[in-house]
Amino acid sequence: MTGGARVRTALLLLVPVGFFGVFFAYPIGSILGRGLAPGGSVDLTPLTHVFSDPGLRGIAWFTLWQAAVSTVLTLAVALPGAYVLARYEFPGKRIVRALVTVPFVLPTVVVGSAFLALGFQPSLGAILLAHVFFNYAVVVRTVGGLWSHLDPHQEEAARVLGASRRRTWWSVTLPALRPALVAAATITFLFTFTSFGVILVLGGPTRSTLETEIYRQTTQTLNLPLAAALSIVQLVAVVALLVGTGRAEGRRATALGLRPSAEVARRPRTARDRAVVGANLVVMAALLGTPVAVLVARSFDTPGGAGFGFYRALGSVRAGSVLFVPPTDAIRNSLVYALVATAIAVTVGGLAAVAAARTRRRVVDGLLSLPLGVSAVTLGFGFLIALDTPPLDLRTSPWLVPIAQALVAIPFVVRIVGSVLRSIDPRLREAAATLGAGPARVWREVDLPIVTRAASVAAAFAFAISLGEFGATTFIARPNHPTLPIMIFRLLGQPGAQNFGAAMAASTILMALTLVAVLGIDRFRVGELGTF
Amino acid sequence: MLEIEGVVVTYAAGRDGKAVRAVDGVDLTVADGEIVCVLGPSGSGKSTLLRAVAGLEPLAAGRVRRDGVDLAGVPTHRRNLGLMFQDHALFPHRDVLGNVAFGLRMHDVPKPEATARAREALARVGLAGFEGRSVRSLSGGEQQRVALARALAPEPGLLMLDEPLGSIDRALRDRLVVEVRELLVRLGMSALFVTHDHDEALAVADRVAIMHAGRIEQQGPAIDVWRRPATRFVARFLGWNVTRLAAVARAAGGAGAGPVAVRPDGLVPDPAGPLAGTVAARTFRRDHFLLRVDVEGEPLDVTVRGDHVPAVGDPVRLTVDPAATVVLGTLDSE
Repeated sequence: MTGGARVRTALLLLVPVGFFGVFFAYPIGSILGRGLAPGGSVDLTPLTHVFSDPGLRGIAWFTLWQAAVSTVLTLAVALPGAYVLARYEFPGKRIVRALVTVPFVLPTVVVGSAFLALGFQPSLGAILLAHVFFNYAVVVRTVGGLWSHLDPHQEEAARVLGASRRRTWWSVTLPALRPALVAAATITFLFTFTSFGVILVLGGPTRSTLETEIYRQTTQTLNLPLAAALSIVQLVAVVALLVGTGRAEGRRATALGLRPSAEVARRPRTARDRAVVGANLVVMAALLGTPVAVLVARSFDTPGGAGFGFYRALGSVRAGSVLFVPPTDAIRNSLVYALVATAIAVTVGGLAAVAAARTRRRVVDGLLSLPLGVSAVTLGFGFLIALDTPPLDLRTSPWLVPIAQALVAIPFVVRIVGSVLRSIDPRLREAAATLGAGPARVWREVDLPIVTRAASVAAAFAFAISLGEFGATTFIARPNHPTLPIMIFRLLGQPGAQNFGAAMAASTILMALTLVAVLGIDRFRVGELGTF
Repeated sequence: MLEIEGVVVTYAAGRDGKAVRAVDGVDLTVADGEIVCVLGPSGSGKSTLLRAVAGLEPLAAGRVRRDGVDLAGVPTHRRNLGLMFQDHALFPHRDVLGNVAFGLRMHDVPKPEATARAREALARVGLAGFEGRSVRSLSGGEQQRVALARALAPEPGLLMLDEPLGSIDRALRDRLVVEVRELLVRLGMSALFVTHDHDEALAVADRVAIMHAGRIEQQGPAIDVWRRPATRFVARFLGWNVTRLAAVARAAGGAGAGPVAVRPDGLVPDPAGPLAGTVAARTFRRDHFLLRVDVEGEPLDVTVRGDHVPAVGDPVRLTVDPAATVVLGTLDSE
């Protein structure tokens, strides 16, 4: 890299680095301070308390094993689905692929209420099922994305050389899929390890994870040092996981025979093909479709017969409720916050991705995905304790919520834009140069048109994530400015069929808004490898 | 006039990061209006040489001059040359016309004129009517012709083509080779052409340079190189037999010196010939048979025309046509 290019890259990094310094490093640093030195001097009592207290130890252990079980279950259920969507061509496949993504972008609170709508009582089974529901798309997109580009000739070559189907799977397909499998398992584990909304809604009073315990210690017992200590334990576990899988991914083979997905997929021809496709479509419909359908149905199932009664009730505050404002206000709040958060996330994340692609360093990538590992609750907690003193007293600032939501969305923006930028064949830039385009012109003519499309996808994703963000927002949203997920949670926390019905109606609205954002994603997709 | 002098291109390869000299001291010139073809097996450094001329690879040593001006420090986009990439490198987000007009736009040609000239370039490569098509929907051969049109459209002073006809089937390729040559001659364009196919090279080039392991082993008018290979590598690469058999050496007039080369059609079955051997293999080649004949333990390729072709296992005697032999120089890479 020349000196000039280095300076330009540094300038590009200025905004993201500043943003991350103030709104990420500083709050997380504050948590470290509170947890390790609550009284101003180093005091490890809260930290040792996490390991010595049997109750807290139990919570940590439960967090770990439910995440592991959720991950294994998700892989087991979703891998066949990924295969079918990657390797078969059938009518309506694009729609199925889009629909499969829906649960992933559904707000966790909505996922929780969907399973309540199904008649599940808070239980371990409900949690695991909700986690599979939620992360199915992660596996389909990440593994299926790679799978749909793997050259089937490699498998055919193995078969011709005498390998059985089983042998081919173990010795050819699986090693080729390994990077995507590791990535999907890591992401699923992370999401379930730091699962918040689902546990809060479906865990009941007895089941708690580190994430919900941080929330409880902060908002109910007001034991901030202990909450900070729990955050630190969770942070260390997550970073260890990210570093470990990062190493494993670094060793992967690079020379994969990748082909356009259109050349890989084929129509089901044999009875076996049709059975495999059919069975998986049934699983998808049952697992992913039923909760959503029942949720919508319950929102219309008023005591006096089917109608919009629950929806009409959203416009008012009933006497004696703790809603503070009518739920319709929450809809407006959510939309405004999400729009602002999207603008911030696309700007900051886009600049970071462009800079990262220029340096080709994984370090930048790794740093930018850190918020993915730092749970939303930790982030919200960090905001709460760090941004409440001058010069940065933002407690009452309307910017706080969108900034937190943007931080949660930025890793996705960086991944989507970054992966597209890196996938641009360097020869295209060289070709443009030989045809007379200078460096700036090359960027404008080759990179920018492709990046613009990626940025649209990223924006849709960021919008959906911000709309449904719950973990961080619960900490920092002012009581009389709730977002829709918070409103849903408040409604679920109140007794009575009327409140439950209103929660279903609000969930349906939130889901519909999310869907509108996501429907754009497949339209804008640049058709590159799975991005998560 | 393009002058390449002592150019070395290295790149780090392998885990130890040891530098590999992909281009290892190449001297080559392309005069105005001349078509020069660099011919060599894959991995010989041909493509790297083109990329170095285009300014896409840094030079470790040597220099490249255009009309006497050193191009060091001149960025790729100001070198006024066209490069047609082996893998086409078409812009996927632009249609066919958008690809072909790209270079004209970069040179600030007004839009109506750019469009007209791009259409003209497309017509030249036989793709009139393809303007609005997506480049993804094209076949390999069509993509290649779009890439050719894109490189031609700005009428660069020097056109470089990297295996331009690689993914086109034989019949179309034979025709396109002629067309490309006619086109270049008509436009008076200088061209540096890279290929591994010697039929293609001999058909299109005024001058041929044979490249091997990063070096140019021999260069000259195509017909001279074909008739008088200078090194063992060049002789073998062009399909000659390289041998030290005394009878061949005598015919070549170089007895006692180094090895000699003899073309397969310079070995003629003749009952009175000085070479005695056995047919080890026989291959049918459209208008002739290619025999592999074992002579004193050395395999020799022999072309035979006509109806009486010896079968595998038959004894055969051969005579040597002195006109089809050459004594190889001592300047030799092997």
